[in-house]
Amino acid sequence: MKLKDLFKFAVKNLTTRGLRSWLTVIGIIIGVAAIVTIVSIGQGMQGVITEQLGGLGANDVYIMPGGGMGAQMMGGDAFAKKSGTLDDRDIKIIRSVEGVLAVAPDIVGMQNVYYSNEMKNTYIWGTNPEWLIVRAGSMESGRFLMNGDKGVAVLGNKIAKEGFDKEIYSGSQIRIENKSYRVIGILNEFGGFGNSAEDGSVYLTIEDAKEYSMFDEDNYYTIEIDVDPERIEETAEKIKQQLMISRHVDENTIDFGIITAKMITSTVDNIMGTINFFLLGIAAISLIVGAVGIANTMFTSVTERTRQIGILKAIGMKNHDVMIMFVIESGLIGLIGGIMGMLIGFIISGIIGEISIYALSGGAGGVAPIVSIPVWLVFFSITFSMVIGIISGLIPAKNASKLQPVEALRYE
Amino acid sequence: MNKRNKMNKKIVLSVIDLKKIYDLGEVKVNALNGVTFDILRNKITTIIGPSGSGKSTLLHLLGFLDKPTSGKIFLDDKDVSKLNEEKLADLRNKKIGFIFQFFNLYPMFNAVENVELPLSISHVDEKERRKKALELLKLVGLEERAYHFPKQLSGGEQQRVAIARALANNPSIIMADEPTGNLDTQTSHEIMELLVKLKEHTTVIIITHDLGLTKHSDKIIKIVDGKISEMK
Repeated sequence: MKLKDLFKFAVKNLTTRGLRSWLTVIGIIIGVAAIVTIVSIGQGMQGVITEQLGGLGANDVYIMPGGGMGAQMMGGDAFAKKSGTLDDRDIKIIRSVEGVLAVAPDIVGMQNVYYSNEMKNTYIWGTNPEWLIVRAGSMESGRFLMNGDKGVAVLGNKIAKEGFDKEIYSGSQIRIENKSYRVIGILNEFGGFGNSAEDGSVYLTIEDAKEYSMFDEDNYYTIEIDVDPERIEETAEKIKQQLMISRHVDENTIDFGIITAKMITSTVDNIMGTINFFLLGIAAISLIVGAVGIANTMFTSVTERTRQIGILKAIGMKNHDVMIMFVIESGLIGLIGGIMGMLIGFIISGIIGEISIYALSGGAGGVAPIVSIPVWLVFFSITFSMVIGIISGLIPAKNASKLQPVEALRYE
Repeated sequence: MNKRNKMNKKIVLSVIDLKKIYDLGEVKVNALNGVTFDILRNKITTIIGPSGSGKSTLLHLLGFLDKPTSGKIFLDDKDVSKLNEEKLADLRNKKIGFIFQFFNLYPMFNAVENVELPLSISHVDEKERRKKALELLKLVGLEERAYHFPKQLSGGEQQRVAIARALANNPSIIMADEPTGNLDTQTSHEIMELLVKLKEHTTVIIITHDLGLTKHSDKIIKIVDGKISEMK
């Protein structure tokens, strides 16, 4: 029989068994819709997080002292074998490395900030003018810190606007403990989920910030470095080697950690990958159940249609044609289930995307959707479910083709 | 041309010492115990016998639905008793037309699609097979009902569709298994008239236990206990 005729035959067989065919299709729809939803949300989340990390500056390299709190928080401590400190000598070495574009050391403390009779406990950062370059930040008003500044502060966007009842503008005076500072600039929002630390912090010069430091006066919490985007890893390695030489340490006694934004991103990717893998596993189970449903339907179908198969064989239909006919039927169930499951998955993830935008922005908009639908997913889900349909139908189809015409005709 | 060749031209099907033994494990059933006969072209041969006589087994063997345990079957002078399933399917499609007691139409297909089935199996293209199928339905007097489904047709009408389907590939032989067994007297009579008419186009073998069908026959073979007890 011609393939076109077998195809028509299969379609007719499926449509006459309407309800049963649809129930089987639904089994596949659920599996595929679950996979599509999970993958598109997973991809979207990954995209959003990567974008967030991009805010740190994709070409950034971070140096942290061994045993330091910053190192522990950012995972850099994993690279340091001993505890150590970072100071101006290290800055000098780093600046001398080729490919380094900007270097910003950080001091961090937590203090009470006062503004018009209100008090707020927040992060105080001490850094240098290059920080703005390293973080790829920009000013909403005023200017950032400059060399030689004294008694001035730059504010993160959130603390300026929402930190106190009255908004703080450039030119306002704030107080940290008992010292007064003039606000010279407000940063643009770094954005992201919830409140990012950068948007809620106060920035001072290193000299001013020293007295608020959580650590020893001359030690830095981290050194942030902006490097040539063309050779991030290479430059990071050079910095590491130079620092090791100047600090007289080797790989076994290394007392600082060095990480790149790429390392953080890949850590996040790993975590997201694990979560996605787990969720996909659950979705795959539902797809397997769907496949078992197809196999079951096809087995029942072969039994129910034994006599019909007998008729077809009596008028000369060949075994392999009978087999192909059944495989087309099960493949079609998979294909239709795949297409519909994909569409429903897209609708569900679209709805979740809308909800997430609303939830994260409080209805104000401006937040990237946490759902993204990759093109490969469209092709994958359709092909995959069709293949599942074909595989589930293989054994029943084989059974159908092997039926003896005489026995099949006798079957009541 | 010698006499033997002339004779062969008239014989469409030749059966020599055909045996069929069903092996049921502990017991062996000799369903057919060595039968030999010829079927002549453009004649009606009726095979009669009580139930259990082996006549259905014989029909299955003659229609290539089953393989004999021993013995030979010649179709158009060719030994077909050892062919494989693929070749047998081909023979069933092109050389044999089946008519069953319970019509055995394909329920998902309407009348004309049922008649087209053997043609689509033998790769006849769409236009041609529709044309042929409609012609055949006209021959059996059912052109008005061409687009009705089996369940919308009466028993007699369904059997007419089955006859049209059996004729689709211009077969050498029409095998009719109790063709009137499920029909009332009037309809049975009409179907028999139709089968008699088919003699002009092809050879008809009727298997029945209804002695009434034998009056149209050119040859009657009576089977009892797997053997020919009478042939006239």
